[in-house]
Amino acid sequence: MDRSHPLDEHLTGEASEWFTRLRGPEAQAPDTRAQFAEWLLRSPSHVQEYLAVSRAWSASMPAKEGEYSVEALTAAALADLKDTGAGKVIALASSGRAHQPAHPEPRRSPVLKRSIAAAIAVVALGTVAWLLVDRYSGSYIRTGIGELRSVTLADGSVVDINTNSAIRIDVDGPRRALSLLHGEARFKVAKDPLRPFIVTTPQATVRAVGTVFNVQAQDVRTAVAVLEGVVEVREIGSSTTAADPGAPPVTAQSGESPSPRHAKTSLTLKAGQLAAVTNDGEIIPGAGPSLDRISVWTERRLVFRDESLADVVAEFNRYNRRAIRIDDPVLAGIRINGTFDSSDRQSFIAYLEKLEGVRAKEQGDTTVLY
Amino acid sequence: MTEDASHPFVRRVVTEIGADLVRYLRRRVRPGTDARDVAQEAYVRLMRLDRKDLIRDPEPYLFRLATHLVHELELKRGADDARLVRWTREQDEPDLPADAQADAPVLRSRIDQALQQLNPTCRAVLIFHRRDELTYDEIAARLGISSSMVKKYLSAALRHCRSQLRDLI
Repeated sequence: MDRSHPLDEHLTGEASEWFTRLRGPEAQAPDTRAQFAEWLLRSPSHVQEYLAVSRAWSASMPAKEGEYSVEALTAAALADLKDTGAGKVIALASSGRAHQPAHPEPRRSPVLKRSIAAAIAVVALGTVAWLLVDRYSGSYIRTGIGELRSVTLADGSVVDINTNSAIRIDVDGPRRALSLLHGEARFKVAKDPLRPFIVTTPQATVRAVGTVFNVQAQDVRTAVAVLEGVVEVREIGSSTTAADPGAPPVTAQSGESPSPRHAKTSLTLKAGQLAAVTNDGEIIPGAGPSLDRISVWTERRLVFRDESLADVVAEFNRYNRRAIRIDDPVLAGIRINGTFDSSDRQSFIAYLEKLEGVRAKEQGDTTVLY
Repeated sequence: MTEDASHPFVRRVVTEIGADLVRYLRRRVRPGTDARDVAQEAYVRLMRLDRKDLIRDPEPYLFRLATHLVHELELKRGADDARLVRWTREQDEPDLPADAQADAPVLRSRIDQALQQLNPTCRAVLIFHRRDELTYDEIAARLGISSSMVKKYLSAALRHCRSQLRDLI
């Protein structure tokens, strides 16, 4: 427990929730099963954790019959629910179906309430702490090559993190601040007009209130695409204004002619629009991966519409440790159309080999196209 | 763990989703790399399945896969370990590797500890469901809370138990 990482704890929480959902009435719903399958396929660590929770459940049988009598368990639980108001606290966290406690909540000072909550959290070693605060704060998440992760934040926002990415998350403060250090993520932002949701990359800041958008941070540029709602994109040099909604928009100094860079220091994107921000601080409307591709990566699908083999191979290499290399410049220009499984490199190569003039050979850790 | 097989709840699970779950759960996957290997390989095989097949019954599928993998792992190990092979023949019990018994007391005491640490409501919900086989609705009626709250308490209890056993499973 002492050594365990907050991310491990969070994953355990997700796996435990699935395990209990699949033992309740909703397990019969096809939607539940589909969502569970999707969750499992997100990452090997999800599979591992689910198996571990299953094993913990199997092991959790009390040793002796009569060790915990039904009467004693019931009495202690009822006293707990009455004394701590814990039932009410959890009900607030669940959506909609608030439970009315059978007893009026005892009057306590906020400080006392807090210290009681703290004491419970310590006694239950994290169990009750989860009930009160199931969330990430100040977390750092990395995904490996080919790994997808999905996390739900304290505010209800969902972040899908693509292959080989790193992201820092801090949503507890007056602003919901996330840093996409490299890689790609999709943000489904829970509405909260008082606390803007701001994603920072090496090149840009992207600001939203409640919307769905995709950010891809690369060495040379950041590409932003909006799937729902509206976001504001700024180049990183002007991001101080993004942090302060009251500040006037950046304008050129008097006596200076406005440079093109200043003219496009921020851009508002609506659903279906894209833009990229370069290392030079330039915002290029319409640039970046297509919406077709962006809307399906969370399902591990890659969609290509008339794209060069060079681009397609580069995209595949993001998801696979074994790289594909093109040795013939003529091949690099071949146009590719199709949908592929990003984790199924073999089928992709088999597809390429069927194209006229394309051959593949294995060379150490690389597949060479020639 | 041997009491598991004869327990009514386990019998019900067996009839509902087959013996694979129980077989998997009774196996002792060694901490660290083995569990990771099994999960990684299970993941790869899940990815290869037709999505429709998987969605129909994801959990039993996963347990079946994990069971096969643990079995494969043990066969591999068993080839190097004549003692284990002899032991399984003598016991006529191919499902239970030798170290399961050696580690059982450690697991037992850690679970007892975890159960004691639980908040009383979490503990009651877990034991009512696990040992007494009550449904969420039945537990909800007994404690005067909603069925969805029962699920949340159960989830919290499981989370705690798993966390406490992190170095073992």
